[in-house]
Amino acid sequence: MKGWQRWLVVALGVLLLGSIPPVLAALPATESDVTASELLASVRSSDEVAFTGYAETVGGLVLPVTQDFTDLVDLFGERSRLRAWWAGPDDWRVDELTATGETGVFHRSGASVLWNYEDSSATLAADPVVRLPRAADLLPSALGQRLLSEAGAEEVSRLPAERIAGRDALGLRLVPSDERTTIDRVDVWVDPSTGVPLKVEVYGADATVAAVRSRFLEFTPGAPDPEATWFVTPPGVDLSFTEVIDVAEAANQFAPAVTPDELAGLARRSGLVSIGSLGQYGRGVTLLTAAAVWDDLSRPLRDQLEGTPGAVIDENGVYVSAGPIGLLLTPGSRERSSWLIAGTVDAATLAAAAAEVRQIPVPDR
Amino acid sequence: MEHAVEVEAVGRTFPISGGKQLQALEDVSFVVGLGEVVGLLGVNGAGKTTLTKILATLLLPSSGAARVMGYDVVADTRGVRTSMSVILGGDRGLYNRISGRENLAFFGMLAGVSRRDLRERIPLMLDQVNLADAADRRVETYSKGMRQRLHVAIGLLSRPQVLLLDEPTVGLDPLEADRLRETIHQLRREGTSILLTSHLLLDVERLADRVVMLDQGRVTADLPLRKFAGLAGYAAVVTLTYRGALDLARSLPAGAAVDRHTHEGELSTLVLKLREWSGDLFGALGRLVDDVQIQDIDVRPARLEEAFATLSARRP
Amino acid sequence: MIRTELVKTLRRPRTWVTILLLNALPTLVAVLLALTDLGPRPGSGPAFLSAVLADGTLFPLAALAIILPLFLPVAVAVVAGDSVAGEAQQGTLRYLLVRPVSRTRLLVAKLVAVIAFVLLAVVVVAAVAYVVGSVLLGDQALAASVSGTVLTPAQVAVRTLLAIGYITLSMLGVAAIALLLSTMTDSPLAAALGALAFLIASSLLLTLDAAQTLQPYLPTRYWLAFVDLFRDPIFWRDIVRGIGLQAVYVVVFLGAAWANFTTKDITS
Ligand SMILES: Nc1ncnc2c1ncn2[C@@H]1O[C@H](COP(=O)(O)OP(=O)(O)O)[C@@H](O)[C@H]1O
Ligand SMILES: [Mg+2]
Repeated sequence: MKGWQRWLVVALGVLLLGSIPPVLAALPATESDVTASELLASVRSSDEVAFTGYAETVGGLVLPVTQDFTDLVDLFGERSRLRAWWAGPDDWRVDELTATGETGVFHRSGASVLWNYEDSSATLAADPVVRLPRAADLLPSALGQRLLSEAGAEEVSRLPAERIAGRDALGLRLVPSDERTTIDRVDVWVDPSTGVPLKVEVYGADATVAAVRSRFLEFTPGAPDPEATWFVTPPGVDLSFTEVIDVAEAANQFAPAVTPDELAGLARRSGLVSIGSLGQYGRGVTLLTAAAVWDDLSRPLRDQLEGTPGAVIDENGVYVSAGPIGLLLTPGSRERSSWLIAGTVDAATLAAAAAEVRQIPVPDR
Repeated sequence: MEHAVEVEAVGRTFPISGGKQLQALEDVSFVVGLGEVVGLLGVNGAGKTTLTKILATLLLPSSGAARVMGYDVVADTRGVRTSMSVILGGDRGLYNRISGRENLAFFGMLAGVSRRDLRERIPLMLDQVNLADAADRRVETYSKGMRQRLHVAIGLLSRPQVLLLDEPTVGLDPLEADRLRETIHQLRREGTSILLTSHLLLDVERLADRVVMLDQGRVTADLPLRKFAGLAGYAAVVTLTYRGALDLARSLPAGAAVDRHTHEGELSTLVLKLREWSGDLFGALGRLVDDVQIQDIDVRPARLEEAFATLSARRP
Repeated sequence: MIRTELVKTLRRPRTWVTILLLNALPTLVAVLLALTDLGPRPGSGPAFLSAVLADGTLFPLAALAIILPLFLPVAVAVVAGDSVAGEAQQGTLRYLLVRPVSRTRLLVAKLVAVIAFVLLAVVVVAAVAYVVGSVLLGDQALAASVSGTVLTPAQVAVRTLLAIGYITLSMLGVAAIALLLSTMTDSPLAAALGALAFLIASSLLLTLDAAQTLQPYLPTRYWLAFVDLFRDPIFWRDIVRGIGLQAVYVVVFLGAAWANFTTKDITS
């Protein structure tokens, strides 16, 4: 064999190997003539479907908050790798894999064990009324079901099918009809046989990059090994119990003031908080949360928000947006608590909400 | 197959700076018969090493073909490598951290010599190249000559039918060089076909049956040794410085020719070329200078350059 | 051929000096951990380093995690970069190539010798770390997996062996790159540095979001996947991909080395 012939062989080999992934990716997905509303209905009834899977989520949001919110920042700003064993809404386990460790949520009957390998800690907590989003919420199945749960039939349309996790997934697009939302659209690809969302992309207004993207890379329907979702405390680790799992729950439990039933024209969401000091409002993907917070939580947060590029400071307080999420913190002092308002609504709605809550009397310390 | 080595119209170019090509070998053809020792002679840069490497399958020819024991050096490298050993000049190319014996064993293993044969032959080879005493020392403690001889031992371990030697005596002191020549001489008696490359006339003179001259990549002569020596025209140069008068026309012995004869005041200088290196001729010379007062006399064997000069002068 | 290369590797003092050096840092870390009892902050140190405080028998893994990002690949690049260029520099290459052994086999033998070296190094590091870990940090009957389940000593042992195998295979890509460079230059140092430059570029691109489309093809992409062997159940996805990727690197770069080397002029 001549020299150039050998190089030719090698070049062909490289081409062949290099073309495997694109060819696999370009395999056409089988379409189906299911209508958008039928698909929506199948997603809504899919929360009992058991499966095991592996998903990756990418957040494109840089949240201008740290300290008590670091998990949240990582969740929306970085790539997470999730393994899920899902026997049903009340029996599941989701592990977030990191390069050198793992944090897991083992969920059974209204309580969760939170496992953290690198801290070597296991914490048992009852499901709180409110809490911050966590990795398990970004699982495509959970995220898709949640975002589509309140969508109207007129808000959804079909998208071309895609191959996801080796399956033909049917596309569904949600364009929220509410003017006040900052969410431009939510694209969901659904496993036709189970109705489970396999891929979800959330876009803010005018955004070319998804604010949140989550998709399964492996997905197997069927009940997982029952052992897999059952936590047995390993030797050398003490299982601890906690009353309060994050600042959202803390704010809810210890807030100095009670929130109104309606805020900026958005109705309080029922079923989530009965008489909460933390109020959640809105419908579908037009959501607003408000809570009164004590100075020790609001002061560092205010410093940080005011230092964020693009922050708007006026008589209502400081306003910052990160992609489709807006944050507003009203003025406060050492004696007076302030209001933290956040949500997927535009600046005007947030400002209106701020003006309303500032009328609510809050106790002085 | 009548020939151990056949070289047919071999050419080789090297790319050099400026996108140009350097013609290191051009249309080179000759053969080495079975059991024959051929001296490949040429000045530095003539292309000897290039040719040796082509025959050793280290370089590819740009044109032409070459065979060793009938195996083509491009297509049948395995056959070539099995039947041939090459010893390239210099003392590099050994594993310095291990002993001479281990080097032998290692290269022997690569050459496909069986374990039993290795056990048997290694001591013999070490004896033959006079390294038995140093065999278990690390090679880094060896002198230049010892390394060169170890190379010879490695080359011979596999009992090659053809041996390629590239400037084997270069860098050796005269004693070491002589010892090496003796080893090669012995191989010649055992019937190994040898292509011996050198720019030293002495190597070729002592060892070769035939001489192939390379000059700037071309063969300029391919002659039996005897004829080659004659081609140079003379074997030694004698330079005489004397006072007095010499009648050259009458008493110059046959076999000597005047190269130069100059006078400077009382002193005269005579340069003679002798066709052969013989007692008779030197005797006759002695008689020639009986009548004059010798100031200085210098006799030296002909240098290869002088033979080259003669050859070059005759080239059309 | 393969045997002679293995013998050569084992007989070189450099092999053993390198292995000794590879052991130095993990051992120092073990001593420091034993003295101070201070683990790294979560997410900051090498994998398993906080876990060994509770269970010294996990120290082989921590030791491998310590040498994996830099020391081991540097050693591999040096050894593989030297494999052909070193022979050329020493002048032995031409004497190897005039023997009736094909150049392709020489390349394969060199790669096998490098991998044998890696395996030896990794096994020695793991063994030394096991002893050091059990003596200095103590042991425990049962260990926690990364996922929070219980692993028996037998399970830990099996998975440690799998990790050793996986880490060894992970070095194939670097070895093949260094080997290719080694056939292109007569300077072992240049070949080793070239391979290292490739690795550093790869590690850097892994941290860059803009390079996302390249990332699945980077040789260092799946190195840390050996941690996945200690999740429960074992997470095979990245491990399988890591092995496949290394195989691709071997095919491509060994192929290029083959194309370059088998018809190459040996001028040194
Ligand atoms: N690798 C090379 N690259 C470029 N030129 C070379 C190379 N090897 C040899 N040459 C040139 O080829 C010619 C012949 O060299 P060589 O065969 O070594 O001569 P010799 O052995 O007779 O001294 C010289 O001019 C030399 O410079
Ligand atoms: Mg030469």
